[in-house]
Parts: sequence; C-alpha cells; structure tokens
Amino acid sequence: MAHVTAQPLRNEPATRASLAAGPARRRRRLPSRRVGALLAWFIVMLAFTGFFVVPVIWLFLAPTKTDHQLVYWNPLALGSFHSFLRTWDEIYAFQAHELLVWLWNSARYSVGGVLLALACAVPAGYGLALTQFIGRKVLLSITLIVMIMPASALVLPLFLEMNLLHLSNSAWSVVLPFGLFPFGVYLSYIFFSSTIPKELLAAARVDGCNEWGVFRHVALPLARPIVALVGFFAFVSDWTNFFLPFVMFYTDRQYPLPVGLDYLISSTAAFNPVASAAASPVLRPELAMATLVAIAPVFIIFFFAQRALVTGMLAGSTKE
Amino acid sequence: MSDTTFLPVPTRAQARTGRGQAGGRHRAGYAFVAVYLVLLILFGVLPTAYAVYLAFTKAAGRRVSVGPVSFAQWAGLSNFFTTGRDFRFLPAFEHIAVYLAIWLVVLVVLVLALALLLHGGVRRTVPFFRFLFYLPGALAGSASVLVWAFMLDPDISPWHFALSRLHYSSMPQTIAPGHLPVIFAVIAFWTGAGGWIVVMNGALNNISDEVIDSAKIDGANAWQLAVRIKLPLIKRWVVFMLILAFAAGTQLFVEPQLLGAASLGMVSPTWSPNQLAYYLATQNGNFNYAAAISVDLLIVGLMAATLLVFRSKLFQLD
Amino acid sequence: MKDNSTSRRRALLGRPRRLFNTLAATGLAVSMATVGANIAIAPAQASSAPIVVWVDAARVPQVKAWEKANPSVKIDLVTFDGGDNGSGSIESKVSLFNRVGHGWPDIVFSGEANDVQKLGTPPFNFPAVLNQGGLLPKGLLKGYAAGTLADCYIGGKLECLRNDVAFDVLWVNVALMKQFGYTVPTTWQQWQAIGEDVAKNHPGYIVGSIGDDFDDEIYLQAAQCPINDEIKPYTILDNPADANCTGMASLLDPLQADGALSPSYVFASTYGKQYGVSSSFPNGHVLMMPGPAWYSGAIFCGTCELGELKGTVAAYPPLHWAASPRTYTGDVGGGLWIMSSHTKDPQAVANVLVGLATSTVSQNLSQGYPGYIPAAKSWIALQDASGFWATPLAPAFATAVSEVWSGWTETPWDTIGIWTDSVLPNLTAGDSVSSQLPVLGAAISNYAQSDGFTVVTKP
Repeated sequence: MAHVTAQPLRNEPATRASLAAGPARRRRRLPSRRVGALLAWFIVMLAFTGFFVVPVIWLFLAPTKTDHQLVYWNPLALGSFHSFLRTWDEIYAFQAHELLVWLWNSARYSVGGVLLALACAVPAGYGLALTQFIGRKVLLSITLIVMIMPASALVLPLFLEMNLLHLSNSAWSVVLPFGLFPFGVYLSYIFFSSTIPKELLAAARVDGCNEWGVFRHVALPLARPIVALVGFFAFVSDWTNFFLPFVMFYTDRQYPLPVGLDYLISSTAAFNPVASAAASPVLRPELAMATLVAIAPVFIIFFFAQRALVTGMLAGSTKE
Repeated sequence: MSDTTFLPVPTRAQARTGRGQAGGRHRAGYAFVAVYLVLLILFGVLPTAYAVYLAFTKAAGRRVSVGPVSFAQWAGLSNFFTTGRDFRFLPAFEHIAVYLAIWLVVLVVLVLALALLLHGGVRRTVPFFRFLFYLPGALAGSASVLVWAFMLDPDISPWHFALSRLHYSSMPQTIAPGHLPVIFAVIAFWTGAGGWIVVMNGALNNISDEVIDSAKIDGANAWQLAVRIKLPLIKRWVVFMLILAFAAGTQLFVEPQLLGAASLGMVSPTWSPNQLAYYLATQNGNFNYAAAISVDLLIVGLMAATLLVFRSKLFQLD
Repeated sequence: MKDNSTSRRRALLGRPRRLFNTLAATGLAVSMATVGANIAIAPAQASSAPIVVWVDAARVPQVKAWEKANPSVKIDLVTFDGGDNGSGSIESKVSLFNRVGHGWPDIVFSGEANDVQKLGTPPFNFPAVLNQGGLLPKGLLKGYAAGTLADCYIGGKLECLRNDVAFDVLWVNVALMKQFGYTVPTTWQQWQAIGEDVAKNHPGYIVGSIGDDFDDEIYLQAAQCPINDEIKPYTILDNPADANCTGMASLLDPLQADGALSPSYVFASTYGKQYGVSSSFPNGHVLMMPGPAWYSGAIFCGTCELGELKGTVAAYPPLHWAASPRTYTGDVGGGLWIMSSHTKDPQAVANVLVGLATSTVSQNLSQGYPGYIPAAKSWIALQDASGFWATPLAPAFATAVSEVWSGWTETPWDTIGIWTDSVLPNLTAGDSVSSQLPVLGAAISNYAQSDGFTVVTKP
C-alpha cells in the first residue's frame, strides 16, 4: 500500500499548477492559514492536556490541604506548606514507615522484572521478525493468546506453580512472571519487522557476521528506541501490577506500592466506614501523598526514557 | 508495509543463498527466542492450560489419581452452562457490549487523532505534550480511586462546571447505572490513551522524513498526509492496538472495581464479566466457574484477534 | 470515640473524686474478673512459633496493647484490609492456602459480619470450632449478651468471638429537640410524625438518612421484615410483601419524599457540608438519626465530619415497632475474631483470641461497643467519662444490645452489598422505598439460590 503514495498526487492538475507557480508563491499564501491552523491546533492540544492533567494537578495539590479543606475549599486551591509537612509526617510514620518499605519493594521487583523482560523481549521480537524458523507463527499466536487470557484466571495456577517451585512469598515469585512481557515482545516484533531494512542485514551477513553478530552490531544499535519503549512499558507494568503481588505475598511488609495503596484505602475512613476516623491517621491528604509517592517514579523514568524515543532514527541508515 | 518497499528487497529465493546460511539462521532463530520461550511456557502456557483444565472440570467431587497427580472430575460444558445461567452473567455481558462500542471508537479515533496531530504539529512541543498526555497512565488501579472519588463528585470536583451543566448534584447521580459505560470509557481512556499515543508517536517517528517531504512536495495537505500516507504506514501498530483494545474492553475490570471502591459499593462488584469471574473465584472460592467465564472472554478476544490478524496479515514477514 | 487512650486517661484523672472512685472500683472489679478468667488459661505457649494475627489498621492498637500486657506471647502482626466493603480478601487467601496446604494465619479479624457464615462452609472450612475441646474458659460465653454471638454460630458450632456489637439506637440531638419543643419518640410512628412536622415547619433538618448502604439493617430489620431469614439450614424466608416490610416502607416513603430523610449517605464527602454544623445551623441539621452504635466514633465525635457537637447528642433506646410486643432493632456490622482450624497449637491460639476479644486492655481501644459484657462496661464508662455526650450512652446501649432481631440472618451473601447496588441507585433516582422492596427481595433470592439455598415466601 505504501508504494501507491507518490504517483497519484504528482499528476493532479492543482498540484502541477502550484508546482509550476514555484515555491515562492506558495510561501506567500501560507502565513494567515498557517496561523489559524496553528491556533486551532494549540487549542485542541491544550483542551486535551487539560483533560489529562487537571486531575493530576488536583492530586499534587491535595497533600497541601487538610481533609476538611479538601472538601470545603476550591478543588484546585493551593494549601499550605505546613499542612504539606504534617501530611508527610503522618504518612511517613504510618505503621513504622511502611510506605517506604512498599516503595523499596516496588523498586526491587520492578528493576528485576524490567531487566528480565528486556533480556527476553528484545531478542525474541528480533527473532520473530527477522529470522525464519519452524513454529514462528505458532509462537506469535501463542503469545497473543497468553496476552488475551484474563489475568484473574491465571491467579490460582501461578500460585500453585510458585508453591511447587518453593518460591511463594518471595521476591522471585513476582520477578520471574514479570519477565514474561508478551506486549513487549509484540512491540519489539512490530518494530523490527517494520523498520530494519532487510538489505542491511543481508549486507552484514555477506560481510561474514553470524546471526548473533548481525543482531549485536546491526539491529541492536538501531533498536535504542524500542529498548527504551519496551523497558519503559515493562517498568510501568511491573510498577503498577496489583494482582500478582497480592496473590503471592502473605504479609504486608512485602507488598509493593499498588497493594499497599489498596490497603491504605481500606484504612481511610472516607472509603471504609469500619476504619473510623478516630483510629486511623490516614485521611484523604495522606492517601493523596502516598499516591504521589507511588506514581512519581513513573514520571521520572518516563522523563528520561523520552530522550531515547527520538525522531527519525532511521534517517541515514538506508542510504547506500 | 514500510518505507523499505521503495528500495529493492532481496526475494526469499535470493536470500537463501546456500543451505548452510539458511540453516544457520534457522537455528539462530530458536536461540533468540529461547529465554522468552521458557518464561512463556512456565508463566503463560502452563497457567493458561491449567485454567482451561479448571474450566472443564468440577470444583468438588471425586478425584482420579494417576500416580502422584490427581485429576478432578470431568465436567464437560456444565461449568459454562451454570455460569451462563447465573443471574449476573447476561447483565455483565450486556454492560460490556455497550462499553465496548463506546470504548473502541473513542480510543482508536482519539488516540490516532492525537498522535497524528502531535506528529504533524509543532515538533518541539512533542515531548512536552506526550509527557502530559501520559501522566494519568501512572495512576493505574488503586492509585486512582481517590482521584475519581473526587473527580466524579460534583461538589468537590475540578470538573464541577461540566457536571453541574449535566444536572448532576451528587456523586450517586453522576454514577447512575445508565452512565457507567460512558464513565468507564472516560476513565479507561484517561489512563490508557497516553501510553498508546506514545506507541503511535514512536511508530510515526519511524517514517522517514523523505516520504513525508516527497508527499508534501506532491501537494498533500495535512489531512491527506495523515490519512493517505502516515496511517497506512503504521497499519501494523493500529491493528495491534485494536486487538489489545478489544481484549482489554471485553476484559474490563479495573475501572468498575475502582469506582466500586470510590463509591463505597454503589457499583456492582460483578458489573463486568471479568469481575464476575474474579468474584466467583475469591468470594465463592470457585476457581472452576471463574475459569469458565475467563475462557468465554478468551474466546471472544481470540475471535477478534484472529479476524484482525488475518485481515491485516500481521504475522507475515515482508 | 474521639480521644485516643492517653487523652482519655487524662480526662479521667481530671474528674471529681467520686466518679473516679466509682470507675476505679468498676475497673478493679472488671480486671479481677478478667484476671480470674485468665487464671483459668495457662498463659505460656506450648510451641515457640509466633502466632500469626491478621488485623486491619483500626485494630492494630488493640493487638499492640494486648501484646504489651502479655509479653511472654510472641505475635506476628500482619495488616490487611479486613475484608472491607466485601473485598473477599480473607476468602481469596484462604482458598489459595487450602490448595497448597499451608500459609493460613492463626487469628484473623474480619470487619464483615457475615464472613464466618462464608468461611465456615465449603470450600473454605476455615474457622476452628471454639465451643468444644475446652478451648474457651468456662463461663466465657455467658459474658456475652443473648444473641450477640448469633453471627458466629453455624449449626450449633461456635466459630468466632465478637469484637464489637453494632446494634442500632436512636441518636438524638437533645439541644435541637429542646429548641423545637419535641419529646423524644419511643415508637416508629411517633418518629415519623416528628419527621413530617420537621419537614413542614423546620425545613433543612433531618430525622434520619435513606441514602446509606446499610439502611435495610436500620429500618427493615427493626421492623422484623422477613426478607433474609434463615428459618432452616439452607432455606431462606424471603417475603418482601410481608406487612412488616411494607409497613415500614410506607412509613419511610413520605419522609423520603418531603426531605425529612437525607438522600445522601453519611460517608459522602459533602455530608458534613450539607448536614453538619455551620453558622446558620450551630447544632447541625441532624435532629434525630436511627443508626448503629459506632456512629459514636464515626459521625458524632467531635472531630468527625458533622462538626463540634459536644454536649448536644445522646443515644436513646431503639424505637418500638407497633406490630410487635417487644422492641427489636437492627445491627450494622461489628467485627469478628476468627481462629484458624489449621493451627498447630489450638489452645495457645485460643488464649490469644480470647484475650483480644474479651480483655479490657484490648477492648478499651475497640472502635465499637465490645461484645463481651465486662469489657463493654469498661468501654462505655470511658465513653461516658469523656463528657462529650449530653447524657450517658450506657443505658441506651445496654438496652439495645439484646434487642437485635435475629430474624435478619447473616448469610454467605452480603445484604448490605445487595441493598447498595440493587436498591440505592434507584432511591437516588427518586424511586420510593416501597417500590424497591420487590427489587430487594428478588436480588436476595437470586444470590441465595446461586449460593445453593432454597428460597421460600412462607415459613
């Protein structure tokens, strides 16, 4: 389909006329239209940005207010630094700094999971896309099936398996399954199959590289964007995973942040009448702060991963 | 499929110069997927097979022992019939059907529109907007309970002006049963769009500038550039997104669950089929019924996936 | 309870000598009784493995206090969500542990009153039977008021101990009643009459709420509506057309229609804004409110959402339903202490269970009225000593604790959850309570049948 692009437009009378008129004339006609289009573009972008970002702004402002102010004041009002500190003190002290324990657990499980997922998914995607072997399509189909299988059905079998392997209630019980990242395999597969030119690989093979050499010297350097993409998505998937740690861990001190947050919600009077306000120090600002702690690393990692998602990495590679 | 079709591509016959080379590539293929294969079997295939086994066997009853392993009694399709007749089953699927219709359209249209707008707009702002669109993606599941408890309550929400325009004066009114499919689609879009926009933006970035420049020289306007040139070039990614969006839609779980927590139970814990499966597994301890419903959902998802894969030739190599 | 234990002790010490002496005497009597009870139990553990106790955040102070008073017992404290709002976390974990044969906790606290009915049946079969094998000290069960342990029994076997009881009383704002010249009602009909008067002459004030998850257990249970009555094992009497049900519903309809009952749920974010203390309503908007005993710590406490109501709120005995010879009331929740049937040392674990459920040191920190009477006496004394309530809570609470109608059985399905997602959205949309009785009845019937029960409309 791609190769039908250039021809039809070339022969249009309108385009021919404008081509004949020359670039100068086109440039003079553009400014007012461009400004209008640019403005419309900005308005649309800002509207969507507002939609996505306003709740997050609310969340950032919430710990600066007291529970009373959260309800009585303007939702986007800024509270005080004093309240912010008090909120932090409460949530930090909650059950012997459990929030930090959860944070550390999340970090351990996610880093392990991402490293394992990258080691698996990137080569696998390459293999599926650019090598030919029996069972390639079967593997792709099985990957798809596993991706589509509802996770709640896999809870019991995974739990039983981990028990058989004597790994239940340990960090490996989540890190190993985290290494299975079919979504990453597919991203990698689609990337390698649509962006690496075959002749580049052929050239390398002709030069005497074995398959591993081709992968290491040709494909991998070009694969920085997909490594960043898969690594980032693997990180977010592991960081926000609730089910697996909930099922695998027996005690709250091993929980990562999503399960810890769920427990915090059940300890907040506003969401659980049984946890009366008098007993639990966790009110909504404290919950908001815990949520911020839970999501901040994702923002930080994304900020750095963005650098690797650069434009036009293919530029120059096809020039022979 | 990609811009490389402009350039001469060696045919399969040409590539297979000598059996040694082809054989080597053949074996190497296995090496690349080896570790993945192990994990896939251990944590993907075996659990899925076990879940299917659960779906076709009885929860209680006599067990058949073969050496150290004992097998449960064969149930045939009885688990499927029992769950199918459950009073919550049909309503759950009705809910999902409505949700899916809204969700698929909203996600695909808006994600592609935003990705194309980003790619075709002011390039320097791309990282900025992409980051901002992605922000909600970090708030998955329990992290967004608090946020939506406030966003959907007209009295305390920053969206007060919109909600009161719709004549909602309390949270129960906002989350009235008829509104739920739309609300869940909004929440799911809010959380998930950013990630897909990142993927599509990455896909669009892989289109070499030459293709775009030559199209512009040919006089393509922004719309034609987007629809006739860019979209076809990222077709594989779009199909992938469609497959996953369809599966995610039919398997909706997080959004109704989190709204149930945010509203102290005003959303049924079995609103969606996946929730019903989870409920039967956890509250009733009946993993077999849960597996039956999960297999139902798997079949639905696979039908859509198969259709899309075949129509788009997603699995074929160039 | 608004104060934590230290400030309560400070408040106690500031009181007049006579009150202090009375309390000290009571405390002494109570602790002697507890010590007496403890002597019957061997305090030492047989095994050295720590006892694994699962509790929710609100119960952590109780366990810690008991631990401090019993340092020889090793406890491994794990916190979880307590099964909140029907999350089923205990059930799901027990299912998984059952499959692999290990991992169960020794003691679990559940905030869901029907959890034992679920956990005690297949496929869970989790709780240990307490009233056999001499696990409990002699006479312990007599320390519970009649009916308070009903939710713990499955066919004659006792499978839990109550932490707190959540009977409904009539909460009254005495200051407002005096201001408007009403007398505190003793029957539901009188209460309705006041409500109609309030709607006409004092708009903005409310006499109750109809927007809550548990309103069925406040109103319908008090009227003895037979809509969830397990008359035989595995048989439910479900008759929404019964005169008790329709009678109570039609009593509520006009109050709902004219706004005397608030349509919001008491835990709505803006409940305080709407019904709490404000400049034009210095005593708040709540004239009366039938509700559970734990409103004392959740709604009416000084730092709670309704604002500072010190000295104005009191608890009165439950309202009487005219059609019945004696007064019945509903109950909303109350926590349960459950012991695992898989423990290696049942006696040692049972000792801890009894300690947590009945000792004053643990129960003084309870968030609700303790189920064990001696502990309850100590708890209520602390409440009343705080001086927060217009009149002491003890009389109303002591009356109400034995008036809970047992015909509203705790069953494997959760009637609160059913009311919340089947009926409440319709009430919000404006439907009357009477119109929702068949809806509730049908939903209960569905859940019951799907759990293997038979549903009948006549006993």
